[in-house]
Amino acid sequence: METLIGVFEQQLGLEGVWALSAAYSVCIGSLLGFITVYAMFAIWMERKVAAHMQVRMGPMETGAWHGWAQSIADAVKLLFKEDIIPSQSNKVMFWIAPAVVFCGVFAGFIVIPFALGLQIADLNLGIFFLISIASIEVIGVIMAGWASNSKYSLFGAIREAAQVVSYEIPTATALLVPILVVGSFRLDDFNLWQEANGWLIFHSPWMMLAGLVFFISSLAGCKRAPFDLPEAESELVSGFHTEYSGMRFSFFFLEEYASMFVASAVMATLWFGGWTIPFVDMSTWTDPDSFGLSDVAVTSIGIVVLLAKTFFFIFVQMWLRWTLPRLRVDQVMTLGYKYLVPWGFVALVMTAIFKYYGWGWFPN
Amino acid sequence: MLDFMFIFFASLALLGGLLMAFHPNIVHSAFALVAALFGVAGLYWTLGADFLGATQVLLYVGGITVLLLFAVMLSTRDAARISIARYALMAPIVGLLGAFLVTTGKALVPIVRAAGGALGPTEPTTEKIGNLFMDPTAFMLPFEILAVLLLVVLVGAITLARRGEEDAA
Repeated sequence: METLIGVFEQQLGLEGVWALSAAYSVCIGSLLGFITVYAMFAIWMERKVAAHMQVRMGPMETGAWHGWAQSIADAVKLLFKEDIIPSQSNKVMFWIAPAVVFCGVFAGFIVIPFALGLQIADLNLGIFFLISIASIEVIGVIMAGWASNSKYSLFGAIREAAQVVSYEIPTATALLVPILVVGSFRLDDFNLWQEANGWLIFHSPWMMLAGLVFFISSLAGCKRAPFDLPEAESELVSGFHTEYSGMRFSFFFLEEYASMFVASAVMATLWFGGWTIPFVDMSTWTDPDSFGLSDVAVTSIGIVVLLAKTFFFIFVQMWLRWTLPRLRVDQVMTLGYKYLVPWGFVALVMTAIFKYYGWGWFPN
Repeated sequence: MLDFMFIFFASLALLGGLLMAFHPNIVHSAFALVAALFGVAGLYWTLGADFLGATQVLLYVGGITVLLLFAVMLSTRDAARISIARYALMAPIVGLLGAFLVTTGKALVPIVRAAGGALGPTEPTTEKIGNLFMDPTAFMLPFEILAVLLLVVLVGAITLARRGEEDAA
């Protein structure tokens, strides 16, 4: 961000506020573009994964090669659909809700480090900012459920509220474990620590436990199967977004896939080294003595490494969705409070002991 | 830029608070409270208290108001409507406040600066807060007492919630 402002000030001769606005516009625009393209790809990927798990082919016709253009066709269809607002709904809330939901996830993207120096806001608060801003999303879901004036929507929203509030506890507890070892909230500090020491997941068995707890509770946070009770289509039509159609519906869809990306990117960054390769200092690759790569090439390699890890976790999320049946409401609460929260605390306390005595599979 | 942010978040907090107090529909009031609390979080941020701002969003916007909404939503839409129309009272207040903010909002900024507000991201505060909490000469005792108090509250809530169960059994 600062670099971008500098570029606008020096290269293009823009002043103060104008350079700032231009930098903001470029950041927001590129992020929106990235989320849209990624969501289209992820939806196509989800349909393909689902199909192959059920021994089908999935979309094959649109765009000739394995139906790659199916999502683009769907997006165009959604754009041109009639915009329906139920007459008995609360118009203002109905209108604001998709924007609130999307804002919560969108704000999370600004702290994710995509490569060396490629991060919109290098906040010192990094991961803490991310989990706090992501909690806004649930407000939008409740808004949507209430404003729709439909029983199914309201039930979906209430389930979502209960589920997200419950699973915020194990998520935060599990996130504290790598924070404890690295000693920072800043996301790039995790990357640099793991570049020097190796992936945090191999730090100790307790770190693995914390990773597992985080992954399971992030599934619940993203409303993904087996925790997709807020939109359980066998009981609630499609939950809190039953009354939504067209463009507004696509915002909820975009939000679901965007939050999958954020959760997977956090998993990849905190436990699996983010954009770094263990024991390889990528910043030296620009030297003529080693590889003599350009800055752009090194940045691209970083992006590819992060995206590969992130897409692996997105694939696992899809895999679980098409493998596991949906849990009952009481089972979701039991898993959250009786298993994940104690496991999270055990991992936290044991990691604190390991860190104090310097135990673990590699030196602290 | 920061002056603008300060005025924006201050207006958000004030207008959200007013809307919460005067809106006839209780659900709308709850959502207005979300806006007000978010505005306060933004104010913390612009004044350099980044950790406090994020905590405000996490606990108040994402936690407490969700529970509040949870309870409010279970009331029906008719019962949620308070019968006295207080829009009439609200309109002049909002008008006056808006006029005040537009005219003097810029003038407020130096006052805040003079009062010791940093107005801008200074150095990160997380580490300092942590050190103060764990410093026996500073805030360690109140911090630990608060922790015990919260534990007592939790145990008490569970006891109250489970009492009916034992009677029924």
